[in-house]
Amino acid sequence: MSDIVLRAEDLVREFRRPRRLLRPRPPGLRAVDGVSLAVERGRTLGIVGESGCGKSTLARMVVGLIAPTGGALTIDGRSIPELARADRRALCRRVQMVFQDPSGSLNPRKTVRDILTAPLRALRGLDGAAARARVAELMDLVSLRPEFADRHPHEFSGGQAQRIGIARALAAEPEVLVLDEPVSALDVSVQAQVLQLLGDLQARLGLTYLFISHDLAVVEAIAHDVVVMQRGKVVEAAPAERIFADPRHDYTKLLLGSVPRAAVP
Amino acid sequence: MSAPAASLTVTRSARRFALPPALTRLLHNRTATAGALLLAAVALVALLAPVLPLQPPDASHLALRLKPVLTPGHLLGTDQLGRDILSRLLWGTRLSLAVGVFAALMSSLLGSTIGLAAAYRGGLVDAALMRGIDTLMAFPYLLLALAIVAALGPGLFNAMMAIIVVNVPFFARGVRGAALSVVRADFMAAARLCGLSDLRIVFGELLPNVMPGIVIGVSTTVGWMILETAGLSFLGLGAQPPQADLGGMLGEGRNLLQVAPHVATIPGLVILLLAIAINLLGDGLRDALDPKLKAGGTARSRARTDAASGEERRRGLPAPLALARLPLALRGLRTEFRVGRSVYAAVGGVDIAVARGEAVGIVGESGSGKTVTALSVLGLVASPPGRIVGGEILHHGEDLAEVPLRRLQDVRGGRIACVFQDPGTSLNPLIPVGEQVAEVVRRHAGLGRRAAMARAVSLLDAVMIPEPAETARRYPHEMSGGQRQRVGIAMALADDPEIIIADEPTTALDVTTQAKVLRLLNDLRRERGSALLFISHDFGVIASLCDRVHVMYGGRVVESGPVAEVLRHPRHPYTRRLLACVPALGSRTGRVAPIPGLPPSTDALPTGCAFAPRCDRALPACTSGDIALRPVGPDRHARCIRADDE
Repeated sequence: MSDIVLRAEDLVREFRRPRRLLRPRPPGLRAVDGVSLAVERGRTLGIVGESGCGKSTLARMVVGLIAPTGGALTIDGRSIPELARADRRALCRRVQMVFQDPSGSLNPRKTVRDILTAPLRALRGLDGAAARARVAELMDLVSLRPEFADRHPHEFSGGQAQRIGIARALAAEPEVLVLDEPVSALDVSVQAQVLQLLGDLQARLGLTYLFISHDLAVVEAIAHDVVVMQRGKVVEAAPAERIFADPRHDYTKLLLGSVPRAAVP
Repeated sequence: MSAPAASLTVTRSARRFALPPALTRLLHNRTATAGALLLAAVALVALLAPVLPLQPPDASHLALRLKPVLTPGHLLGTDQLGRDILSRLLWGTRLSLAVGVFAALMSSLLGSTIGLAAAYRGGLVDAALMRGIDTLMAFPYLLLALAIVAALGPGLFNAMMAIIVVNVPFFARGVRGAALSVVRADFMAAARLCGLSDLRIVFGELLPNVMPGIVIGVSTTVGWMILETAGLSFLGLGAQPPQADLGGMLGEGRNLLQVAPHVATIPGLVILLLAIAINLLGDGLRDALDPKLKAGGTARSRARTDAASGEERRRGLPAPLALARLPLALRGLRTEFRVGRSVYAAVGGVDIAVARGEAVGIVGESGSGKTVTALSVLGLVASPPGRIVGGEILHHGEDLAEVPLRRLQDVRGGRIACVFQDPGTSLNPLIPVGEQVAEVVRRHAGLGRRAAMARAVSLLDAVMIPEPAETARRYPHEMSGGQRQRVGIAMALADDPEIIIADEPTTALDVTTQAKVLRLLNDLRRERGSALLFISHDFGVIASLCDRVHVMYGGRVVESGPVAEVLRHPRHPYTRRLLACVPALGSRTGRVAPIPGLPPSTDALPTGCAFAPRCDRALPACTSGDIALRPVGPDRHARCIRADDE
C-alpha cells in the first residue's frame, strides 16, 4: 500500500456571488468543482492550468486558509478543515505554502530576519541565538547573502523576494509544501537554482510537494505526477512521463502546443 | 585575541547609537525639521513656564489694565484685568498643547482599535462597528461636541472628552480603509500560516502598515484638537476663568479687538504657529516612515530622463557609421542610477541597432539592464535617480537624448511606441479602453473626437478583440489580462509606429494567451512593417518572434547574433549556461543545470568580464581588464576571450 500524505475526495469550493437588487441570488461560482487527488509521501504532484482554473483556490484549501464547501481533504488521515479550526499551529507544522506574488507575500515593513523569525518562534519554539542561527541557515538554503537579513523586502528583486518566501515556508519544517507558482516570477538562472534546490530539499528532507504552475516545462522538470485542471475540474491526471509524451485530453494538447520553444529542431 | 573582540564591541555600539533610518530621513526633510524645531521651541518654553521668572498668570492688577506690548515688567502687555499676557500665554500654551496631544492620542487609540478590528474581522463585526461610527458621524461635528459638553457640563476636561469622541470616526474610518487593502495581501495569509495569533497579526503585521496613516492623522489632529478646544473655550464651554488657555484668551480678547488688539492677536498667532509647526512635522513624519521612499526620495520624476551633455556623452565613441541612419541605433548607451552614495551602472555601454521591419530581441535576467535600455530610448527612466551619462540614442540620426521635449513627446507613442509588461497597471482604470486608445490617436494623428474613436475601434479590431465597438466602451477591469494586453498593443499601433518597444509584454499572461499575443505581434509586424525591440527573459518567446537577439548581463551585451545561430551555437558561456537553465518541454532526461552564484549588482561590477565569477571557463585574463564585444562570425559578436575555444 502506498503512503498517501495528502488526499482530496470530491473537493468543492463554491463562492457565493453578491445578491442583485430585487433578483434571486445568482448561483454560486464553483472555483473547485469535485476534485479528487492523492499525493504520495516524498513525491511531487504538479497541478497545471491557466488563471481562473481553480488551482490557487485548491492550494489555499490545502493549507487551511479557505474552508471547502464540500468533499473531504485530509493530511496524514486528519481532516484539514478541522485542524484549521481546532489546532492551526499543528496544521502549519504539517503544511506550508509559497505564494504566487513574491513581493505581496512579504510584509514591506519587516526585515527579512523578522519575517523568518516569526514562524521559528511561533511554530518551532526557537528564540534568540538559536533563531538567529536558523535564519542564517535558511538564508543559505535559498542562496541569499547573509547580510540581506536586515533589509526590507522592497530592496530585493522579485526572484530574491520569492526565495525569502520559500525560506519562510521551510522555517516551519513542514511535511507538505504547497508551491503556488513559486518560480514563475524568477529569472531563468535563478528559477533553475530554485528548482534544483526544491529537488535537493525533497531528497534530503523527504518533502512532499503540491506544485502549482502554468508553466508546463517547469512542471515537467519537477513533478512525478501531473493533474491538468480546467474550470475547477480535473481534465487529465497521469504520471508526468505519460502526460507530456502522450497527452490525451484536448485541453492538455492545447496547453502543450502553446509553449514557445527555444530548442532548435 | 582581544583586538577582534574590541572591534566587535565598537561595531555593535556604533550600530546602537546610529540614528534610525526614519529619523535620518526626517532630518533630511527641511520643512519637517523646521516644523519640529518650531514645535520643540514652543513646547520647551511652555514646559519651562513653572520655572521661568514670570508673573503669576491669574494675578490681576486693575490699575494696570490693557497695557500695550513692551510695557516694562509686562513684555507682551496686560489684559482687561491687568494680568500679564506673557505669563498667561505660556501657561495657556502649556495647557492647550497638553490637551491637544492627549486628546489626539486618545481618539487615535480608540478610533484605530475600532478600525483595525473592523477591517481584520470583517463581516458582522465590521458592519456593527461601522454602523456605530456612522451614527456618530450623522451628527454635525461641532454640534455633537456642544451637545456632549452641554450634557457633561462646561469645563476643560469635559470639553476634551467631547473632542475625543467626535474625532473617533475620523480615525476609525481612515484606519479601516487603509487596513482593508492590507488585510487582503498575501503576507497576511502567510502570517496566519506562520502560526501567529490574531493579536500578533493585527499588531505585528497589520498595524505597522497603517501606522504612517495614523501618525499623520495624529499629527494633523493635534492641530485641530488645539483649535477645537480653543473653540469650545472661546464659547465659554472649555477652560473656565481664571484658568488660561489659548482659546479662552482669544475669547476674552475678542471684545477688545478695537481697543487693545494685542490681547486677542497674540494667542491667535500662537495657535497659528502651533498648527503650522505640527502639520509640517506630520507631513515629514509620514514621508520618513515609508521605507519605499528611502530609495527615490520624495522628488517627483521629470518628464524625461536626464542626460549628460552631448559632448560628454559622445566622448570616446567611434565616428558615426551608416547605421546611424537606422530607425533606431543605440551607440555606447550608458544609463546610471545614483542612490545615496552608490552608483548603479544599469546600462554600461550598449550598442543595439534596429533596422526597418526587423525584430530584435534583448534577453537577460532581472538586473541585466534590458528594461533600462528600452526605457532609456524614450527617456522614460525615472530621473532622479536615473541619468543617461553616455552614448547616443539615434532615431534616423537624431539623438533622442538631446531633442527638445516636444519633439521627444511626438516620437513617444508616435514613431516609437511602447507596450509594457503589466497591462493592468498601464491602463487607466477609470476610462473606457476605447477612449484611451482614441486619446493616443488624437494626440498623434491629430484626428477629431469621432474620427479618433472610429480609428480606435478599428485598431481594437486589428488586435483581434471580438466585438471591438462594444469592447471599446468597457473598462480595463472588465477584461481579461490577454484582452488588456491587446488594448496595450492597439494603443502602441495608434500612429503606425516604425518601432514597437515591447517590454515583457506576455510575461503576465497564460500560455495559451501568450501564444495568441505573440502570433498577433508577429502578424502585425509582417503586415505593417513595424520593427520590434522585444525584451524578455524567456529565450523561447524571443526565439518564436525575433530575427536577432542580444544577450545582456551586468548592464552590457555579452553576445549578439541571429536567434537561430545563437541558440544552436552560443559563443558566450553565459548564453550557454542560460540556455541550459531553461527546462525544455519534452526532454525529461535533461534536467535543468543552474548557474551557481548570483548576477552581480551593477553598483559593484567586477573588473573585466562580469560573468567571470560564475563562469566555469574563466581564466586570469578574464578579470584583468576590459573585454571588448568582438566579431566571432558573420553578424555574430561575443564579449568573451574564449569565444573561439571549443
